[in-house]
Amino acid sequence: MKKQIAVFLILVLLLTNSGCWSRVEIEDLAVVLLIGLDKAKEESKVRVTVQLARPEEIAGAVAENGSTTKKASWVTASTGDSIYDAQQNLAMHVSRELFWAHTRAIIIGEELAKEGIAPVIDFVDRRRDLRRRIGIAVVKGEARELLEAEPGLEKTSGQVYSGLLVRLFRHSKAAISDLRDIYEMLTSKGIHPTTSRIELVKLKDEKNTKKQPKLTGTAVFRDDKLIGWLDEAETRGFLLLKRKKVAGVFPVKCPVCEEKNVNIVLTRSYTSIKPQLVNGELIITVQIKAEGDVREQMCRDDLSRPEIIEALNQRLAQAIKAEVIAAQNKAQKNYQVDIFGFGEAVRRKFPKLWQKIEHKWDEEFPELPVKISIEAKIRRLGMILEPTTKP
Amino acid sequence: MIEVGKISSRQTMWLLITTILSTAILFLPSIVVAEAKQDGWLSAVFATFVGLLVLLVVSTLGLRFPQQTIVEYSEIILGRFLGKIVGLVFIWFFLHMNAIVVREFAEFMVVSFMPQTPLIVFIITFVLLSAFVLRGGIEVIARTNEVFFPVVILLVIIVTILVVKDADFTRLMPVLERGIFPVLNGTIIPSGWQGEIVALAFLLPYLNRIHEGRRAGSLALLIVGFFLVLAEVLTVAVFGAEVAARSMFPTFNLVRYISIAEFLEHLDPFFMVFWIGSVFIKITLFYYITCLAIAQWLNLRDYKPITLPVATIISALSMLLFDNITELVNFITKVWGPYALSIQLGIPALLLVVATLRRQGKR
Repeated sequence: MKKQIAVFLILVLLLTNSGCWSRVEIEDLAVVLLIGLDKAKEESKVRVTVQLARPEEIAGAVAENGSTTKKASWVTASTGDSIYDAQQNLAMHVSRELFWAHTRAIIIGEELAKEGIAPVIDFVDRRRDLRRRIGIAVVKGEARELLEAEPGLEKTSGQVYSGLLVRLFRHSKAAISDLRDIYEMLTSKGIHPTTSRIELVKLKDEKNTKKQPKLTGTAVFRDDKLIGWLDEAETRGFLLLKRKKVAGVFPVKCPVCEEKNVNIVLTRSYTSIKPQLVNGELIITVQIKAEGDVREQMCRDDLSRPEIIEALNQRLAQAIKAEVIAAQNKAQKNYQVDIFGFGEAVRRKFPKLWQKIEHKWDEEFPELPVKISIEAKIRRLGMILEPTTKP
Repeated sequence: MIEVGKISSRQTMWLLITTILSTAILFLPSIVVAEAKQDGWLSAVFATFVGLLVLLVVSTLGLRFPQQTIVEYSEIILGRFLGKIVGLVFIWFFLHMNAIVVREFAEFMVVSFMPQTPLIVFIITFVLLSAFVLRGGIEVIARTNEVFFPVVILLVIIVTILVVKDADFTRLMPVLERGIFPVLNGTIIPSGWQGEIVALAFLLPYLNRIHEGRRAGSLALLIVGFFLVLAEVLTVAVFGAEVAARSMFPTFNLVRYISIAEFLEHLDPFFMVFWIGSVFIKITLFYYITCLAIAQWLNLRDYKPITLPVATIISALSMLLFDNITELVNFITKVWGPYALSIQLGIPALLLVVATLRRQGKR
């Protein structure tokens, strides 16, 4: 009897415990690769654009009956009174359940960013299926266009974006931020948010007239509102001031011919920011140490002498300093926002002083004296000692 | 005697670590950081000292009455009437605490994994499963924990290694930015967790070598303290104090933030599985203590007949205690610390003073 009851119970349990009721089968999922957020044309409405993967096309296996005709992704948009509303409205014409956990980035349109990105941050971090690792970029123009771009190499622009991020160390010409970074910059008093600018550009080298996504510089915010951009050279200076590693090419005049350029690639950079009190006045001392290799020489002179290298060191330091000062001027004079986190450095060094000035930091920052010293060292010349010099 | 099983001092230590750490590591960091900002780790250190104080009182008492639990010897110390009141307070306390833990568990599951599943489903399935394990007695609970414990610790260590590359330890500066008071304020809440070591007042009689109880307890507290400090340091170093304080479950965010070469990511299901395992041990242990205490308080021969009635009370209480998650967080932040400490530390200290004055028990 006992055995029979047990068997009966097991059968009942097997039938009733077969899964949770909010389950979704994988065929019913639409995986989101990129999210684009724009201001809609209608008054006070938001447009959410999503790039949805077509897994069978991404996998790339060509069907037996010939090449695939469908694109690897489908870009579709919906508008609503808020981001969440617009997202829910997507279900009005998307036949599958949206799956957000694999989203690579959120692209915010310029107009929406000017109005404020705080609702975006709220939308993302409140969800349980998006992570703080997700990239956040501002597009010059409309996010929708960027998502719709047809990439030359990859199958979707979502893959382009993450590929570009990985290779950022080649040039350091964009300042990337993920959700964590922006969230932290928004909630700290001593720093204003920045993130990468992404643009849709017509590339010159191709007959193909289709525009391609490109990382170009930095978006600058005052609190949560977009107020301007840093161009590519300013971005490198900005990254150095923000204690980030910077790579990329710095051209300097050759000390021998004084005519053509020697191109130096930074291999290492290290920045220390020290707030100091001099006669009761707050100044910021920035020390940058950079190391580089000669990677390219436009003239044919022999550089392989210590005194020439020493002269190159000086010129490299000056070239770096020019970019750093450009970034500093842009932030202090044009935008008047502390995007470097000098305020946070002051808070760490002088917590007592910071409590007195934190509420008026935005007014103090434009007048803040910043002393910059740069030490640059060229270490190597590549695989040759001398270029095509004549004996 | 109601419980005939015996557990070793290592089992006790593991049991206590799982019990305290499971909910502490998930709920404490944001609450403590909200008070103490980047000095949250200091609060965790101080809280460990408070826990050690509770342990000292409870184990001294326990060694005076090595055959009995606190419900039994409080009657000897304070007399029948007052002793019964103390017993009732402890029964209520463990019931209440368990209802809160069950609710915390269910809320976490609903918030982070299954938003459409009703709370009551998690509560009932979990409490019923506990009731089943409970019937095996303390030995079964301790051995179940031996399955989970090593994996949980291993998982915490792996997570630490994986997130450390995203940590920037300058975020921990400056130390004592706003003086010592925010840190002390932040100490009260984790003290309520470390004070859960009071469970030892019910476990001591069932240790096979009772004199090792104090050492097991203090090792448990130090290890929990270490992991709490680690959790505070990592959440602040990865997210910064402001963001950590604004998160519901910052340690969970930490696990979700792991990304090694865009390959090793989305590790949260592992975290969830073993977290559920350790919370299960916590709920079962408190449930067991409640049933044991009620049985001893009513002079029953066995605690098994009352397990299901107690399960009903725990489930109903955990549903009824809070209307929404803000009430839960508010209760933990504002009320729990002082309330828990007055029972965990206050009552045993009182008992110890009276027992010493009346020269009751051994020594």
